[in-house]
Amino acid sequence: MIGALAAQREPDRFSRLIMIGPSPRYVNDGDYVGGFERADLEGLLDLMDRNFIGWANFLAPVIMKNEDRPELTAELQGSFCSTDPKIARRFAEATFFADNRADLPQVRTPSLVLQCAEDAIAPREVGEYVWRNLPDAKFRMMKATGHCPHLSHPGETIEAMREYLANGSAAR
Amino acid sequence: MDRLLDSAPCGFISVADDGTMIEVNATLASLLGFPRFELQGWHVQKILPPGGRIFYQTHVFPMLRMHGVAEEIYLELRTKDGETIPVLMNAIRRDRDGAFVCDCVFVRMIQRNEYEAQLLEARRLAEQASAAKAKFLSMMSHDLRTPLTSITGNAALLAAGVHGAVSEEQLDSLERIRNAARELLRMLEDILGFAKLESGSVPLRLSDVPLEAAVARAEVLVRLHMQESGLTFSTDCEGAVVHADPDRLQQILLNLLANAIKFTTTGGSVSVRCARDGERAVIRVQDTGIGIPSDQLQRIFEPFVQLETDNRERGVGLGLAISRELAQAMGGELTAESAPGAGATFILVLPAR
Repeated sequence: MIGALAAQREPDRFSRLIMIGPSPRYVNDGDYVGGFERADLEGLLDLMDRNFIGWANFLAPVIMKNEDRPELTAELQGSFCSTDPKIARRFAEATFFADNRADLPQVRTPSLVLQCAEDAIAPREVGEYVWRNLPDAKFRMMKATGHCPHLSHPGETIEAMREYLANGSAAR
Repeated sequence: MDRLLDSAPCGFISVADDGTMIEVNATLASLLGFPRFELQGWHVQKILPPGGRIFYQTHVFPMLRMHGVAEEIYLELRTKDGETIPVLMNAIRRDRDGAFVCDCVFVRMIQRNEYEAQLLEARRLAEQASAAKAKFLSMMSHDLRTPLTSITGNAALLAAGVHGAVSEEQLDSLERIRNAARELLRMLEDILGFAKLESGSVPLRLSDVPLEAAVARAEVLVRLHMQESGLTFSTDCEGAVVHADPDRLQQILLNLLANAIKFTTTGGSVSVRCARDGERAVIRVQDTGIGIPSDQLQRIFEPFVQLETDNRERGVGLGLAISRELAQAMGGELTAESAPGAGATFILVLPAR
């Protein structure tokens, strides 16, 4: 969704958008199915607060463990997991309580929505909502399950991205 | 599954990358109230409450996928009856029989969880109280400054004879009023400075500072005081350069020198010596004064702490606390060494250039 907002503000800088399990709003709202009640998300923030205590501990040794594999450390440093836990907490709060539904029709960049099966974070209804409300989007249902197919099923994810970038016809 | 693992006093599951539970031990199945065969083959999110599902997908799994290990993760598991059980999880992701699985152990932490919640709450309250204290100190010192300025100003006007001639005795009293007010004002500045430091609102302007010049600058300001107290002063700081805020460094040096003068009797000496120690510069401010008992060496850096001495000029006990905070803010440290009767040495360490 951050990419979509950026493309909306600076359309010239983006030629295509590929969105993996996007959600413009996580909280259910009337007829809109976001997948969560507010209390569920508060439960998440509570868990994050509780994990502050050990957070620094479990990041530090991990970075050292990857010393012999610098490429992993680089990946870690670039990942959201390596951010300051206070920032991670605020990032989660901003993400999960945001409502960007009204932004979708403003995005002019051609886009692909990659939807996972059984995604507990962004269920199919949400992915389809994004696809329907983006002016120029394609939708692709993946075999991959979960919310992070780039991590759990990198092969299928790369293939879907390549196909879309090559011709854009692989999705409906 | 190994019989020992099956009945071990902790829950165990093995989860595939797609979230399917491949193995579940008997301990966990019974903790959650499910028959084991029901759990195997299910997605792990079935045993997590909604918040935990998101946390697993957005944090725990990515972490395991990228780091291969996650330790001391607080989670809540959901039982068949819909109850939640707080647990601590350790997990490791590894290749087994040609596929990656995450092996996770869960330890129930009901009492620790309550204790931890109390700790967290206590920390939150302490942080609130500390912020309130800093705000109060800052407001108080601001508000007290105005009437004090008026006292010194009006005493000066009276002493200057603006409202008519004043006698020698009256002048003497006015001088005492002004001195006392100035002293109060100095203490207020300390409190205000400390409150600003505590709230992190003191900007640092770091640059390369030659120590010889910095010490000479401080010496000018304390020279008279030094002479009046009958102390000899020596420095040896040639060549050393630190990366610091020159004004804050000056503040620390003045605090340390004022301190040395305060606690050193007539005929004694005060010295400042600088040396480089690898990446750091070490500045030692040494006196031949009454010294500091070893059990007080840490305490003197705490705010509002004063050594028990009589007939000494009083302050609010913030000089050393401020100096240490400033040193730390500049990436350095301030410590003290002493033995009673053998003088004290304050050691200021700062990044060298």
